[in-house]
Amino acid sequence: MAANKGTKKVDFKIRCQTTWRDMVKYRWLYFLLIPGILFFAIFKYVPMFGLRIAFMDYNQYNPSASQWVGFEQFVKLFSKASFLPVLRNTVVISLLKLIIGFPIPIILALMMNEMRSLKFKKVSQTLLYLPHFISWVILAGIIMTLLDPDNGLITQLIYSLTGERVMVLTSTKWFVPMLIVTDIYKGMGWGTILYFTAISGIDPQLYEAASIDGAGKWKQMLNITLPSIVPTIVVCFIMNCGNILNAGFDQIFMLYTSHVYEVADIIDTYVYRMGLINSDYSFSTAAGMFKSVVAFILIVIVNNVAKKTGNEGLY
Amino acid sequence: MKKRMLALLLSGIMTVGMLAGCGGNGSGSGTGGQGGTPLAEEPIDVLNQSETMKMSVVCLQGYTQPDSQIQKWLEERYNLDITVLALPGWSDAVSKITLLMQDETQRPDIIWWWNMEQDYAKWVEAGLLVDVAPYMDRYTNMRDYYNSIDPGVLFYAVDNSGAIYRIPGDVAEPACETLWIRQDWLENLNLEVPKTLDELESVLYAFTNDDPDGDGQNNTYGLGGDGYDLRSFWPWIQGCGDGFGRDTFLKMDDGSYIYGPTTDDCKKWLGRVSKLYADGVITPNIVTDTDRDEEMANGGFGVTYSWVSWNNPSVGPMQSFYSTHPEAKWVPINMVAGDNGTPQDDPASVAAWCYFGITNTCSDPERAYAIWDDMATPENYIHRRFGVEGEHYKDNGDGTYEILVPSDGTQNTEQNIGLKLFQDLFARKDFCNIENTKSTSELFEKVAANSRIAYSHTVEKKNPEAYTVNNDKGTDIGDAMKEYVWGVISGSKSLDDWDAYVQQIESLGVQDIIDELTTIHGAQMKEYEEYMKNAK
Amino acid sequence: MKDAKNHLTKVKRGKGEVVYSVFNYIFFTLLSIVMVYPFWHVIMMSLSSVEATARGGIFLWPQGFNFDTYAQVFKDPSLWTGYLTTVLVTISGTFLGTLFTATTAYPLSKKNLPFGKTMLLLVLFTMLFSGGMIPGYLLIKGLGLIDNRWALVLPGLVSAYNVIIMKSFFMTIPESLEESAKIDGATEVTIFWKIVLPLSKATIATIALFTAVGYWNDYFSSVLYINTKSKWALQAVLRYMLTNTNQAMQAAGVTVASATNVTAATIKSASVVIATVPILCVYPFVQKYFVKGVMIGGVKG
Repeated sequence: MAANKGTKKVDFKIRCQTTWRDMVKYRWLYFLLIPGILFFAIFKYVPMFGLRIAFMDYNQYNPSASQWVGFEQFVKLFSKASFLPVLRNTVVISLLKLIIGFPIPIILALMMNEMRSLKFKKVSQTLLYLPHFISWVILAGIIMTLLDPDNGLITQLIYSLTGERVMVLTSTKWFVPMLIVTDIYKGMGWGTILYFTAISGIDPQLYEAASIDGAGKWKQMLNITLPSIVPTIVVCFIMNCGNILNAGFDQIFMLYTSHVYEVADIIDTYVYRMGLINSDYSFSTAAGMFKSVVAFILIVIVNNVAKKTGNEGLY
Repeated sequence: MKKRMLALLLSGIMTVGMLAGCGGNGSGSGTGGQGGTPLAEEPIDVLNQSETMKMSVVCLQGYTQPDSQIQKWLEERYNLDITVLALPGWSDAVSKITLLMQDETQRPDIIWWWNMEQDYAKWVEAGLLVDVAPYMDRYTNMRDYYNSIDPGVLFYAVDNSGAIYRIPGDVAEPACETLWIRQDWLENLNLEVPKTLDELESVLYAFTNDDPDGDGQNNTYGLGGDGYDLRSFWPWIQGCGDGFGRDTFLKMDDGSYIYGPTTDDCKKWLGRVSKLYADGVITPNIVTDTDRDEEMANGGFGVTYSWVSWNNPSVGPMQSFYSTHPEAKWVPINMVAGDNGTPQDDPASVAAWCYFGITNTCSDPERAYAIWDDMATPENYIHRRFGVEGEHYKDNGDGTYEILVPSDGTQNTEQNIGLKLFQDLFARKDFCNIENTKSTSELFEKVAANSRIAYSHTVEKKNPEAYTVNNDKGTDIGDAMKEYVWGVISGSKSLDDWDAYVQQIESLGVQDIIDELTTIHGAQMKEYEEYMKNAK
Repeated sequence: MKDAKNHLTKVKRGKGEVVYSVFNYIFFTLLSIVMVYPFWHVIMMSLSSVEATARGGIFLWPQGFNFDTYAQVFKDPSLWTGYLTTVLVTISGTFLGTLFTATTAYPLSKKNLPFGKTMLLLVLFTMLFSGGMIPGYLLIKGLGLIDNRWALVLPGLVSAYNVIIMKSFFMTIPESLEESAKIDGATEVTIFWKIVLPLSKATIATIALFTAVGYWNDYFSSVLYINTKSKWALQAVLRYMLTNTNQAMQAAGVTVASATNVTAATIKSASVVIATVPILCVYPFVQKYFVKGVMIGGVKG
């Protein structure tokens, strides 16, 4: 026992020494880190003391009059009868967005990579990015015009095809699919950028060797391109998993009405409506914190799964 | 893996703990209660002040370019140096107001807000606002104006202790909507002006099916209006049963309270409206969130319940509409009678929809109030709102006026005149609103008189933040109500489920809110009657 | 190296590949049209007459040509000051932000850097937890930056997301390249500057683009930290134009009439054109560099 302890102590000492030696060795790397550390400390961590507001009944106009209330704000949030459906909607919508929306940029990037005409590639790339620059305010306006129950372009199209007037924006059946489609529409082009960058990092000699071996385009894509961008895919996927409780406030807020609360009311929109009446800063901070904690746990889990399966994780 | 998780968690907790220590950085700004506001020995003569006063004012609406003519006029007249803090539009204004008010270095001298009851209560508690009650007794223009409209306006502004921390900024006319109909369509189809709800419905069917515009196409609707706003169905709401099917809590003559959307009256009008909608008599997009102005400019329907002020020739949506439909003619008609034969227009609230106040950072609150009061006289108000006689508007000499430069027009911006500056920080709706034509003013009076029975059931709250049960449960109940009511109208939900819906509303705690209303609002109404007695 | 660049054209093309290639072109042509149409629609809306926008049915071309909306919108001086602020903020923010993202990500990509992992976790943590509106405001106030344009630049300089992305790319650079330089006696700073950065042009272009778009579209910082309208960023000005026009107050019984030849609908469309067109004009130039970066990155040394 005693001897054991002794070796441990020595181990620790040695470890300290090596660590210190490494730190001296890498001093220039620490030098590079200075601006980043300063930035994160000042602009991210200093304001984080605001998180304590979630455990308070905060009075922003007279902070000294604020009171500690423990987990009361969280209890308030979870005890709402309407909270469970809201949580369910949030998860359903963002899961659908993840499952359907996540692979699309990858497929697009792979397809586009096969194009020979650089000019065509460039033009279509530029055009694909376009919707990303249009805010949801504007996009929602366009969507509403296109889906107008009377003279909307898409409504009329559906009518001439099926003879049915589908009112997408007020239908509990069609609203969520509409959210998914428009979300993909807005983000898919922009989402390809990272994969393009990853593809550009692939050593061309690999392709050459493969084509000498007689591998066709399809095989090259499967055996070279795809495996090479797996790390990027994994990183993106982990980060998207952390976003599972962010089902897209701007998008839904601009488009929804009470017709579709049943399926489209998410945590953020719900908290916003509650907040409108009560201007309860602590309550919305608590809701935000709940989301963060869930995201935190999810990221840790997914990251670990990724590492277990032999991929590079986030950390 | 466990270890890593632990490390992660630890580092997280550590950082939070570490930062909780920095909590002291938060500024302590509360300066304590204001107490009674002292008055200057003599009333301040705002026109003859040697010292230039710096004044920062928050405002949202209007033309807030720097150095507009109106701003210069105010600065010269009162020896002021005005800084206009423009709010970033409706949707973000609340955040900005919150930040400005919690920062003692940036807090404006004159703050303006709407719908921020909880915050307002905290401002008063923290002593951020100045009690203007003594000033109001000394400088009387604003007070007299509000009392001339309705003594109740000030009742809703006064604090329980008798202090006045908020000055009503803008109060709507007693009722501001009326029933509009396409007279040319009536004439084309040889129809009479409808007088009852049943007649109105047959007119709607005729407008939909009998090609009222005579173009041979089936492209017209009976009813149109503001999308996703139940007021578009007001004729049915007021006409079914006793008109208690309104989308809010109502006060009964015996002093009890009910929730309108669970009454049989509501079921009745929902039945009628949903049938009309299913029959294609109402514009389909009324169930979506469309803009009223754009709908109006668009046209295509023959009846709508909407603004009285559209009777003024200078109004944009009507101008757009007439430019594409030169042969058309919209006329306001009397509200149609329903089941109980007492047609009513939709009453507006007596309480102001927005307020402004003088904050504790103002260097001379009394002078600031006196200036605002001087700005409130009819001639000064008209100058601020409509500009100079002969240049921006014309006085016809018979009590009518002609607007030469509309405040929403390009000339106002182009020439940097600044009409409408501080419009929401005290607006007059009486004879000083010279934009109203004679017939518009009469129409306002008519609908006002024709909305008093409905108004007697309206619940107005003096201190909405005191209704804690309502604030806790009201949103959920309102959401459930909207979900069902709009569902029935659009046909996705059935009236057969009415009982289940009523049960759902009850399970969400509607009775608790009614109980709270009975105690708090009941007491408030006693106070109100007392106040009104003294006011007279 | 040149051979490598052209390897695509040298490969023989099978029948299946030709069919696939044709399909590919058709697919992306259609997709591009779908992408562009809403934007086209908005431009046509902004150029159409008030009556036509109200009536609807604008499909391909403007109806009742009307330039009044632009004339009106551009008369507002705050639009020009908005452009100025946004351009200043975007340029300085993108430059500094990309630089600091790289300097943060590079050391963190070294696996055996002591405490590197802890720092990475701390960076990651900020992606999930943030203090909120009022603490952020108090910080900016404490730094004395209220109503100062730097308040629009500094808080958004580095994002955890970008650091992670960049770090992942740095990790794919073979150690051997750096090792050889180290033997020559170069410090990590020199290696970073002379070897790593040139190798990561594509990634840097990507991060710069992300950062630039973030700055360009940011309106909420102006709302929070700026009190003088002439210092507002473009997006805040445009949003003000949109939300200030009417709506909200009608609920309270107040009518806001719109000017004769300009309605909320036309202003809405004009403002999206005004906000987006500059980015689209600059974008091809950025992308030229971007694609070049991709190519250089592809060749790898």
